[in-house]
Amino acid sequence: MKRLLTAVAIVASGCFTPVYVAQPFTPAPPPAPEDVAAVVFLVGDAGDTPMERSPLVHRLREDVEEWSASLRTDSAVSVLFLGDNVYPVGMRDRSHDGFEPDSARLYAQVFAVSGPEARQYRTLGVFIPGNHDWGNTHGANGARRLLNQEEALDAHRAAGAPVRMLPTSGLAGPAVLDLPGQLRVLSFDTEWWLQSDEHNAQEQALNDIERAIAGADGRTILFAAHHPFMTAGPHSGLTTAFDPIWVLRRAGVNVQDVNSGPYKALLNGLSSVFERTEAPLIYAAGHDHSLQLLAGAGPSDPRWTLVSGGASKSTPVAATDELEWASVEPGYMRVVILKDGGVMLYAESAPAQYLSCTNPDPAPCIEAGAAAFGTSYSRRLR
Amino acid sequence: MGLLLCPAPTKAQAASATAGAALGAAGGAWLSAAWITAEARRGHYLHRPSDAGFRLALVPAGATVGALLGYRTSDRLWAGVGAGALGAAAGAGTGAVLGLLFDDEPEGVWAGIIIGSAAGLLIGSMIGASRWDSPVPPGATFAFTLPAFR
Repeated sequence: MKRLLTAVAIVASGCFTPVYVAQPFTPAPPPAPEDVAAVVFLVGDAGDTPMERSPLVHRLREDVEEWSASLRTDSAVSVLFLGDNVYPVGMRDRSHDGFEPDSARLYAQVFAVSGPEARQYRTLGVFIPGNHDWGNTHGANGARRLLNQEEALDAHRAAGAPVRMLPTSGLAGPAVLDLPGQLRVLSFDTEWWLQSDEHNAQEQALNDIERAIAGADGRTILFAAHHPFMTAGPHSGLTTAFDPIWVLRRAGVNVQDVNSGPYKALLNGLSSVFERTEAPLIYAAGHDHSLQLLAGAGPSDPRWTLVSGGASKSTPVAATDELEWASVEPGYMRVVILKDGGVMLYAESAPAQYLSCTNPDPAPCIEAGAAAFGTSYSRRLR
Repeated sequence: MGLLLCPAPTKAQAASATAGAALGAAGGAWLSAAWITAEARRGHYLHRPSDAGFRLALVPAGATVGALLGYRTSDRLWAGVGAGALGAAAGAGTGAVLGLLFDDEPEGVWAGIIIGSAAGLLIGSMIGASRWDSPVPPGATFAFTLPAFR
């Protein structure tokens, strides 16, 4: 009887979750550039932000230029593209008809980090693989799509744009980036994990993460990947609106959802590493198409999970216990590392109408949309 | 040269066949979902919706069976639907409890519901559609005849 009641409770609680409603907050003051050691932009799921339709890439470029010029320090500004850099199926072969639009989608992001100030101060544009960059499939075809993207980024870098794929295509990572402000970024390919069925290779990846955290020597850890540690979006398996496959998602059938077996194995592996060493201050990811700030609950959780996946798509967010704030507006996040060790978060977003400019003459819309971006949320993370 | 002549369906037959096709498609979709869920429990997950592939063939198959049943004998169709619904409900309950026994995560319960209800739906609808108007021999409490032998 007890088991039956438990089963009924699970079903009742899983049928519908209320949608998140924004709460008032006290904004954090904007930092003075002289107090800032480093700025990291978090831009996720930007794979459908072509320059001729997306105000976001234009505004991002303005922000990157402004901060690069203000800090005037090599690599003090970096932009982490948090996966799904090329929708819908990654970068197809040069001989394929889809190669040209795929290249345009990737170039829009390269454009955002290759302005004159960004080039002068060696601003980093780091592209982390997501499931769509793996062709939204699995096997050799997906690996080929990822390699194509890496080769395209290498070509842009050879032409002077400060961009690269990290970790290198086909490797799990973590790639380690030590940045100004005592910041260590670990870039990890979580889609590699979800596709891998080699237990030893997964164990090796976890050991490498453990070593990178243990050897951080007091630096602030920012773990960056495509798949979030926690989320209140559709990939959590929660349902806020009609979803034709919601019951399948509740059963953990979709490997891209937090409640699937491989995803849970990844999170369990990371949790055990964080518990043995030190949980990152920030776990930054995309995957769900929204902006979310979630608080960790225990010592094995990252202190903060930032979901910044709202660059080119928008999906709803459910009200969960961990969720501190969320927005479904198009946008990105900015993490500011202060010289005194403080860490600030600023979420930049614009009204939903500026997700994509589809008018016959999009130029006025792009201009208005880029100007409409503003700080929709801010707070001190440490 | 041969010519196949079929009488035009009556309005009632057409309506019954249409309802059968819709209900059969829905049942087939549920069986597909159960198939996909069972495979995921064995480690073969969906990476994208199109990975469902040939498992979705149960949708048109269900629609065809439902339409044929509705066209020929609507009584059988509705008997199958009724018994299938009962079977699905019983299977869902059983599956939920079994899911909780084998996996204490919520996903286990949901998988149990999907697979159990699909099994109940399949068995119930087959019995219901087959058993309709079957003569029960004296002394027996249950009897059904497969449609192929009628």
